[in-house]
Amino acid sequence: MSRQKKENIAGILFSLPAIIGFLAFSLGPMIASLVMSFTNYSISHPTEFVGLGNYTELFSGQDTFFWNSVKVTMTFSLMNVPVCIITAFLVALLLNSKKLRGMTFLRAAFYIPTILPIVATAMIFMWIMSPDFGLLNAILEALHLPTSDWIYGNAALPSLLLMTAWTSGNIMVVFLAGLQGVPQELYESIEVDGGGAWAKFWYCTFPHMTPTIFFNTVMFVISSMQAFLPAYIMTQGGPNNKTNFLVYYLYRVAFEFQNIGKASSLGWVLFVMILVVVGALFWSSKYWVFYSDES
Amino acid sequence: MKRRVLALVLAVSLGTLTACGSGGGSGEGTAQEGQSAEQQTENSSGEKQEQVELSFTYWGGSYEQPLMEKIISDFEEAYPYIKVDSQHIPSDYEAKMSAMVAGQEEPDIAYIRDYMALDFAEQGMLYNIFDFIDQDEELDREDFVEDFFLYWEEGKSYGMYTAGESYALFYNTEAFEEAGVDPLPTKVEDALTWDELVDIAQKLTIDQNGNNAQSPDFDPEHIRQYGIRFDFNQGSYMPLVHGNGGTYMTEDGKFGLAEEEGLDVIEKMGDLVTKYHVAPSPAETKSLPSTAVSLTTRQSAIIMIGQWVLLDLGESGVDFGVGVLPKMNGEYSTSPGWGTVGIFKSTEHPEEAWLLWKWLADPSKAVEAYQSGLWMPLMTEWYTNEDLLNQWATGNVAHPDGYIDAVMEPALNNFHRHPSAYVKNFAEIDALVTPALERMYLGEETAQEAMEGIADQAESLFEGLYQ
Repeated sequence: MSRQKKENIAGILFSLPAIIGFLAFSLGPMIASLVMSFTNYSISHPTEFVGLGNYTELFSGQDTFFWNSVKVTMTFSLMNVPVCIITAFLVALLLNSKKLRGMTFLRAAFYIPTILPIVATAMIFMWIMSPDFGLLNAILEALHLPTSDWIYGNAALPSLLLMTAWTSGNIMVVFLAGLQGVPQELYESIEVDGGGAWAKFWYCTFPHMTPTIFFNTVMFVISSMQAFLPAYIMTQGGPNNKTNFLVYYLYRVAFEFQNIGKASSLGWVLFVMILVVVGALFWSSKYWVFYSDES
Repeated sequence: MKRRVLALVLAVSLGTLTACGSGGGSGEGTAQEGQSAEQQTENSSGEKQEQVELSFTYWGGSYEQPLMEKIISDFEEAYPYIKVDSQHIPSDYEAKMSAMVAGQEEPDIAYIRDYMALDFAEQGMLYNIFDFIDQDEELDREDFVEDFFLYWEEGKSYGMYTAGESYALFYNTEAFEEAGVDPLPTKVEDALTWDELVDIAQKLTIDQNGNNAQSPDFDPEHIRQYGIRFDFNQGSYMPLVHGNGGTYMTEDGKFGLAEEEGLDVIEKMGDLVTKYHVAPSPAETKSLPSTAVSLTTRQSAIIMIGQWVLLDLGESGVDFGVGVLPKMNGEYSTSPGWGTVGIFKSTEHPEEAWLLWKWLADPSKAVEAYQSGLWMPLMTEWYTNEDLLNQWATGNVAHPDGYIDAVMEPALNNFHRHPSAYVKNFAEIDALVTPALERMYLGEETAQEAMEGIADQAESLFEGLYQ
């Protein structure tokens, strides 16, 4: 056997666990759910093919909650992505500053929220945002400012951003790593040319960071559109379905209304939505993402 | 670039699937392989008997779990050849039950929400409990309170309520004394009118400065003690709607909460929150401890809830009293909980599952569960035989004076099951009602707008009633 062939076999063998895992636990279930989405599969009733029935039910507005869920999911993503990306980017810039004291401590402090189990974080934020006894309202009252019902009232969706921003340490770390990779000599050249901090940021830091910003945005758009736990733990989709995210609604359709067929079609609608949004991001990237190996 | 796109497509698909899969994953692992251990043991008479393992799931609070475990270990002691693999599922029970059934891992015998059991039974997944009772030499149907059976077809019952239950008012005696309010009436014929209840609730609602809700200086933004607290589900409004001559869905498929009698109750309950400020809204409720605890800490003076709350009130040592629900325009009505104990047809051990069912339904096997206030008996004798009645309903901290008149008698004489037990497609209809009520309690819509706004949709989801 030639060396090339041996290497090929070794390569395939090494990647086999991942390939099998993908086929068995991703592609298989995906195909199964695609098939199920064309049936009325429910856990207790006999299954029949209904063609596009589930999809027409969703898109025709016959399903009372679907369009609201789409709106909630998109609104949340549109708010969540910029807020968290910008917060994490600013924090990373701050933590990358050489003049900062206690940097190790601060880096750890900003990262710790992402290590905490999301359930624990959610419980704490439920208390912080409690209308009568919560920390936020206590502070607002002490400052004689109007209070809010936070996640329990009309402002439920924006209130959730407080928590997601607090747990955006993961993105911050990626930004931090990206910042370390910005070539130092460029800053020196800017200094020689008499440029200040703003010039350094705008002409050097930001362009070099666009691939990282792009990566973080794509990953975060995906996870925002799949938001589930805040609704599941904190709001149960309420009040008045203001936080009824698509994935949470999917869960309810599957396990409360026991309509697995329709839940599968919801999963596919979400999949296509994410694909479209991410595709649009990729398309836009050629206008704003700068790779240093490009001319 | 192409490769990057491909990688991303894969990442997206993986991500979506993880999200889709997570719901199912949480529950599927919980079902147990019930029938693996097939050992031979000797029973008391020396015969060889096959070892049987039964799986059983149930819900309940933190006081309830040890009680149930005790009942089960007594059962295992009485039947040494049966091992019960019991699982306490404290939250999200319905979703976990769905996941177990979807994965064909349902337990042998389980607590099931009535609206789910109804559907399972109709699909032939649950045993008709009368088949067991009729074959049992020790028991007859007449031994049980007839109203507590749940039916999916005439003469076919998927089980009884998990226990007898009854909605009533429970109050903190100290709060009443301080406000100079008379104890609540305990007899149905003396029940308060709605206006009297509002008046009392106003006197008992106290703000941070000590003003009550009838004072001109009352500050509704800073309430220390609410006059009355209730849940926002069928449990609190349906007994009143029934008592007002209304219903949830009429036989011809009209949405009852948008009809005059139902709407009247919904409106009145909304007023308690938004007009009189004597009851906490859904948002305010989130800041309060559990209903029982809020009574003991005097954050609520009266609570409207099922009698299972006696367990927590008794344990807390608070001085409390009971009273009947307010009088509406029709015949007085109270309601049970909304759960049953069902035996799945997929069980390999129906005989043993029946033994456990019988054990759970027999107060003599677990009299402490009744003394502690958690359950009311399912068996008639425990109400009619004074010796047996005195074993649980009197002379203990969980059953104060007036209990028999205010809670027990109505359960036997003025009983009206919740719509979840007889409205088909209840879960989906209720998913419309809950947010509509939230809009009313948030003050976004009037009761009429909220209920009439969903009437058409509710009626389109209507698939009939089981009677």
